[in-house]
Amino acid sequence: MVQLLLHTFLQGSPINLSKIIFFILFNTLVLSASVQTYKNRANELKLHEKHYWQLLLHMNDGVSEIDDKNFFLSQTGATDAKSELEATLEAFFSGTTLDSNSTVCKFPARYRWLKEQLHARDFPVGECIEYDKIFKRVDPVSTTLVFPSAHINSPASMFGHTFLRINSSYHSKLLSYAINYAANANTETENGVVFAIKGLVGGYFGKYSLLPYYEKLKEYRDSEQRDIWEYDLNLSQEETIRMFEHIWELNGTYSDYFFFTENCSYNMLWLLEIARPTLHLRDGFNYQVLPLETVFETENQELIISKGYRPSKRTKLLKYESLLNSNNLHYPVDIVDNNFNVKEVINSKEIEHEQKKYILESAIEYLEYRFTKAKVSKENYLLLFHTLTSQRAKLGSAKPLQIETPQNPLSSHRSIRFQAGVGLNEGESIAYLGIRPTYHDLEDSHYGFLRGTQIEFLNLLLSQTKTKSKVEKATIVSIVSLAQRSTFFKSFSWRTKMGWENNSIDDATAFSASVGAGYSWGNEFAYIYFLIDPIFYVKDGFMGAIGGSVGLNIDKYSFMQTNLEATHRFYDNGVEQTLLFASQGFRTSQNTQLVLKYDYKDKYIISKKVSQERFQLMFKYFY
Amino acid sequence: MKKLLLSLAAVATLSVTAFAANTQTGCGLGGQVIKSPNSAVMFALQATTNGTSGNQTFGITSGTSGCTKAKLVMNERASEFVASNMDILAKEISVGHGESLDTLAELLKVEDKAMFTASLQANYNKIYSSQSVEMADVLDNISATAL
Repeated sequence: MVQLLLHTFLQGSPINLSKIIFFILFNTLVLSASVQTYKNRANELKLHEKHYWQLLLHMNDGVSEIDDKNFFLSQTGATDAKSELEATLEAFFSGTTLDSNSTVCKFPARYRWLKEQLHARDFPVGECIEYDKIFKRVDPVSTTLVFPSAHINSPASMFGHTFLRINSSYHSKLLSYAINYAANANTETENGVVFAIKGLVGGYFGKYSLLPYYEKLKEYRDSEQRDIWEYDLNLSQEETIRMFEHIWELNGTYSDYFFFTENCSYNMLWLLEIARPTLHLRDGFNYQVLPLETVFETENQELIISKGYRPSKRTKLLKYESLLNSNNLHYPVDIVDNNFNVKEVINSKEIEHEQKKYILESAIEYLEYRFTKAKVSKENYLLLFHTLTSQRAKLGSAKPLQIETPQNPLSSHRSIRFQAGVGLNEGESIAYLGIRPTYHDLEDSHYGFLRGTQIEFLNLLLSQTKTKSKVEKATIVSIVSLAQRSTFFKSFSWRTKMGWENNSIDDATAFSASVGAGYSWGNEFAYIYFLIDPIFYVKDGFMGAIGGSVGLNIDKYSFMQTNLEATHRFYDNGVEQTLLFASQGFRTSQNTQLVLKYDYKDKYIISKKVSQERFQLMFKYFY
Repeated sequence: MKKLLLSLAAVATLSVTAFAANTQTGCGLGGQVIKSPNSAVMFALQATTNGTSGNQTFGITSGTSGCTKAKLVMNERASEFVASNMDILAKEISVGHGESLDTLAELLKVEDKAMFTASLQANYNKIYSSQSVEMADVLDNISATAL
């Protein structure tokens, strides 16, 4: 109507400057009237206070967690949801172009929501070529939560990692795109400890990346040797698309990265809440956001439809170890590490045909493993890879490896542990009470955990007899990594501990720190380990010792485990000490355990050697 | 404050190895990410928290920029997929099965997958004709032998 009037007016007389000015002013008036109308309506409806608007801005108590100014259209947008909303509306209408650089195209989630809420009919329509291209490529249909679990010799990776996979209409999941949030740090140039400190206190930016799933598998499953767990979520296609629109808004933005709180998993929860705003997944997390705990939360809120598993390269190699006859085990290693001629295996009359296939297949896997660890040069890798694959192709087809799916991490115990128990300490009865915020030790049920790994922070145990209260232990940090050596894996084992405990030669609880190294071997039934630990105690000065430990852990059965350890120490004041620990644990449910313990400690009370024996019955509860 | 305390408590234990961030897959074999810790101590303190292997982008643009284009196969996604999965495809073709191989079959709209994989395995040396073969060669060779 307005256009018609304008057209008539302009046609009536020759174009001159005043008409042009009028035209511009008129349009601006019309448009600003339009924006003003929307702003007024938005204020009436208090849209800036609505939950979804707060979600889109990543607001937490009125302050956005996004630290990048480019995410906001208003100068005060990060702390003022209302000004951000108004600035967004203004930006929609005031842009000189409506191409991929326009606000309309860069903020599709805000655009859609505001248009819906305002029942708008004349929002400008953008020509969003870039967004359309990426949308077509990603083709969002459904969503899967992916959890790469721990990898060997890195107990901290027990906490895992999560990212989301946006499934497309392709049958193959490899072609889906994965959205990932990670600290943007150049670990090549950065010192490891500096990286840890900066990552913990927000010294890095976290950024989002969108990459094909096959790239993530190459990284986590193959290079880092981590088993991959997949959890298909019940988000609808519409919800997945809504989430993707917001992901596009996050393109290129950064936030301060905190390992413990605003980390990878936490930001995945934001995305799920954007997909379905009735979800409140972040509420339960106060001091720490452990990736696996976020997976538990999606399970609690009944989002998981089905579960999947992809074995890591390490798991595959271990499978080959079990399939190869014991006298054939040396061939793949010799081929890759010792220049053994592949033809000798091919031409051998002694080796069975199926064994030849296993030898070549495992040699290829082992070769890739050694290459990614920089133990084989690229030149040699290419030559040997070509030889092995060509020869293997001539041996014909084979059934795929049947790898049994291990216990799902969702069946493992939760991270906070309470324990209560009673004991007999040299004939005297004693009560125990303990708490530990995170995460898992070797005496806890191993169900769903990587074998031989332990990581604990702030483990506190108090005791009470008729006459005395005592702090039995207050561990600040304790990490153990017992990696069993086998044909393909010549790993070493290690452990470290820091905190207060009472294994010293006197009866008091003292501060100590130790680090140990050694080896471990095992089979499906149990594993043994040998470690040498230098240790020092701080109490009225320093006291040092070297300890040697041998241990056995029987963990074949899921409902129970037996831990035995014998240690002998040589102190710097000439004194020797024997320590024995035994524990028999039962997994009474996913989050409860009953443990019987015995320990024996040599102590020197007023220069006299005394043997202290203790029995304990502990009940553990995980939350 | 609590955050800071928890952080400090974890400092020494969550350090990370330095690894060569190599996400440029190139067009031939051997494009894997090499992760080699620069010392035994760093290895012991290894804690990958987040796969920070460098490429924090929206990687939609093709991984074949810089690779010679195949002559017989005009399929952008197939080209991208092959370029980024040269080694795993070689491996799966040589054993006659695998998920990446199935994915390639889907991308090339192969009708008889069983015949496709059998033909590829039988002709492995015609497809991965040498250790320096590249994506374009592999796709063209696949086209010549099995499509």
